[in-house]
Amino acid sequence: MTESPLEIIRLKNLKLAAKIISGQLRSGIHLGRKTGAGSEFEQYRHYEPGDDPKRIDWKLYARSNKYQVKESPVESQLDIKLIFDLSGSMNYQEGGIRRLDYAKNLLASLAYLGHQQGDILSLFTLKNGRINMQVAPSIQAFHSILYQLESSTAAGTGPVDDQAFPHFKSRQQELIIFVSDFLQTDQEWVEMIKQIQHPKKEIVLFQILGEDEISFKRDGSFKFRDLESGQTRQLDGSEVRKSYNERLHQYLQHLDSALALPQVQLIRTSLHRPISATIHQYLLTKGIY
Amino acid sequence: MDLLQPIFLWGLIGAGVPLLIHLWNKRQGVLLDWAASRWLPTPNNQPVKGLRLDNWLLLLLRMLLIILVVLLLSQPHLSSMARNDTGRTIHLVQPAPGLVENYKFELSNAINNGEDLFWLNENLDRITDLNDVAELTLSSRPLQQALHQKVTSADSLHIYVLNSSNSLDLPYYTPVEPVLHLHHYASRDIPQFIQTSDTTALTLSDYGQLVKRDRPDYRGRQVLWQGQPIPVWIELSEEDSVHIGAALGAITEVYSIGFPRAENRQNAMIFFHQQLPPAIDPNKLYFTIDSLFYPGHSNVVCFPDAVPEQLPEMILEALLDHIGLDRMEVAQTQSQLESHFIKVNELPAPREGNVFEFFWILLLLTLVAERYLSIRKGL
Repeated sequence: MTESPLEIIRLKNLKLAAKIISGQLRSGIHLGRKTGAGSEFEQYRHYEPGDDPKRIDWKLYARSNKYQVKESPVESQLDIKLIFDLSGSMNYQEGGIRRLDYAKNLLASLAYLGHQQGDILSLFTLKNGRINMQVAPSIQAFHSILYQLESSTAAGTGPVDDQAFPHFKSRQQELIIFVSDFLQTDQEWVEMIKQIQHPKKEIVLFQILGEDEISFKRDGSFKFRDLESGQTRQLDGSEVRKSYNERLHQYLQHLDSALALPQVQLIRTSLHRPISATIHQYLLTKGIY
Repeated sequence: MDLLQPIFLWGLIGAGVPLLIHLWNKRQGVLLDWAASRWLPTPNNQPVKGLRLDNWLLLLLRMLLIILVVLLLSQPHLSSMARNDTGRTIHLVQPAPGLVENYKFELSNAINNGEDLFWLNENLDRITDLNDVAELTLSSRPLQQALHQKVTSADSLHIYVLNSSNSLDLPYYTPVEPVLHLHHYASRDIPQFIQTSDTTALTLSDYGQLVKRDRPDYRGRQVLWQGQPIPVWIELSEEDSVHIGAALGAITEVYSIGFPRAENRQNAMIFFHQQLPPAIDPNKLYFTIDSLFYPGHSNVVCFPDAVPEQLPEMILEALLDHIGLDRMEVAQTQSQLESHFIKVNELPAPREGNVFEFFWILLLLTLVAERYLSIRKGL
C-alpha cells in the first residue's frame, strides 16, 4: 500500500474506517475475558472455601473423589465513556486533514474495538463549556455513536471552570476517553480531569496536535486567525518561531506534569500519524500489545 | 556604452514587479486558521512598518535579474571594445588630369602621410603615383561604389571631382559627410553636330536644347553622325511594336532622323527586344522591356513601365547619349553639390552587442544566487 494511512480519514466513512483501523491492530482495548459462573464450560479448578457449594461438580467428585468447581467464560463488561471535544479549535487543518476528522476516526475506531468486546459504550460531546450526553450507555450504542460522530461539527469555545460533571461522578469501574487538542486555557482541563479522577476510573486523554502547532518552522508573513474568537493577528514567521515554540513547549510540559496522576494517561499524537499507530501507542502503555 | 535597441529599456518598468509583489506579500501574509493563538506572540504595534524590506537581498537579486534581461535584450554596445577603426583619411579622386594638377599639392601630401587614396575608376585602384592619371579614363559610376566599399562612418572623407553635371551621378549616399574639392570643368568648346540630311543638322542651342539647323557650317565642328538613316530591328509584340513605331515616327517628324526597318539583324543599329539578346554589340543600342533585368551595359536601356507618350523622349535621349552628344554642362556651387551627398547612418547589422558574454555570465550568477537564497529561505 503506497498511499498514506491517513487516506482512511478521507474515506468519510467512519464505519469502514473503524473496521480497517481496528483490523490493523488485531487486539482489544482491554483484557476483556474473565472466567466465572456460566453454562459454557471453560475449565475446572479446586474448590476453595468461600465458593458456593452448589458449583461443585458432583459428578466429577463421584469419579475422582475431588472437589472441583466448573468455570465458564464470562464477558467483562467495561463501561467506556467517549468524550469528544467539539470546540472551534478542533477545526484546525493541516496537510488537508482536519483535527475534527482525525478525532472522529479515532473515536470510531475505539468504539468499534469496544463494540467487538461487548463493552458498554456512551458518547459525550463538549461544546461551549458544556458536556452533553449524545448517546446513552448501552451495548448496542455503536451505531448510534457512529451516527452522532458523523453529524457533529465543531464550533464555540472550550471548557469552562466550576462545572459539575454528574455523568462522571459514579464510583464504578469505567474507562473515560477524551479526544481533544487540550489547547484552550490554562487550568480548565486539568481541573476538570482532577474532578473526575477516581482510583477505579481509567482516564485516557488523546491530544491531537498539528506539526505546525507543535513546532512552527515556516517562513514568511502570516495572518493568524483564531478559530474560536475569529481575531486575526499579523505576524512574521521568524517572530513566531522565536517565542511561540518555546512557550508552547512550556505549556505542554506543564500539562504533562499536571496530568501525571494515577490512572490518567496523556497520549500526544500528531495529525500526520496514522490512527492505528496512535491507538497502538495507547495499547502498548497498557501492556495489552 | 550605448544600446542598440533602446526601446527595450521600457522593460525596466518590469523591475518594479518583484518590489510590488514583495510589498504586497508583506501586507497580506498567508492566512492561517490557528487554534493555539494563546501562545502566539503579541504583534508589534506597527505591523506594517512602511517599507521594511525583509529578504532585501533576494528582492535585489530578483530585480537585478529583470534588469539584466532587459539590458541583454537591448544589446549593449561598448564602443571601447569595438574594433578600433577611427582616424583613417580617405581621398577619392576622379581621374581627370586637370583636377589632379590642380590639387597636386594636397594629394602628394596625402600620399606622403600614408593616407588612403583611390582612383574613381572601375577597379577603384589605390593611388600610388599621380602620373597614372594620364592612362585612366573618366567615369562617373564608381563614386557610389567607392563610398560603399571604402568608407566607414569613422573616417574622414575627401572627394576630388570635376564640377560637372555629366561626370557626377547625383545624388550619392555616404556614411560620412565629405569634404568636396571641386575643379572647374572646361566644357567642350567645339559644338557637336548630328547631320540628319545634306542640308540640315541637329545641335545643342545655347540653352542646352536640341535644335535643327539649316545649312550649318561644319568647319571646325565635330560631326557625330553622317546623315544616313538609322536602321531599326524590332522584336516585340504587336501592340508594343505599334507604340515603338509611333514613337520613332514622332522623332522622325520633329528632327528628321529616319528609322527604316532593317532587313536583317546584322544591319540594324537600334534593337527593340522583349528580353535581352544574348550577344550584345557595344556599338549598337538595345532597348528592352524586360523588367527582371539590370542593365549591365551602358548601351542597353530598359523601360519596363514606360507609357507610350514618354517613348519618343526616352528613345531619343538614349540615342543621343549613345551617339556621344554631350549634354550642356551645368556647373553647381560647392554647397549645392554638398547637399547632394546624403549622409546615411550606417546599418546596424555589422554592429552587434559586444558585451553579451559579460551580461550572460552576470545573469547566470545572479540566477544561481537567487535560486540558492530562495530555496534556502523557502520563499
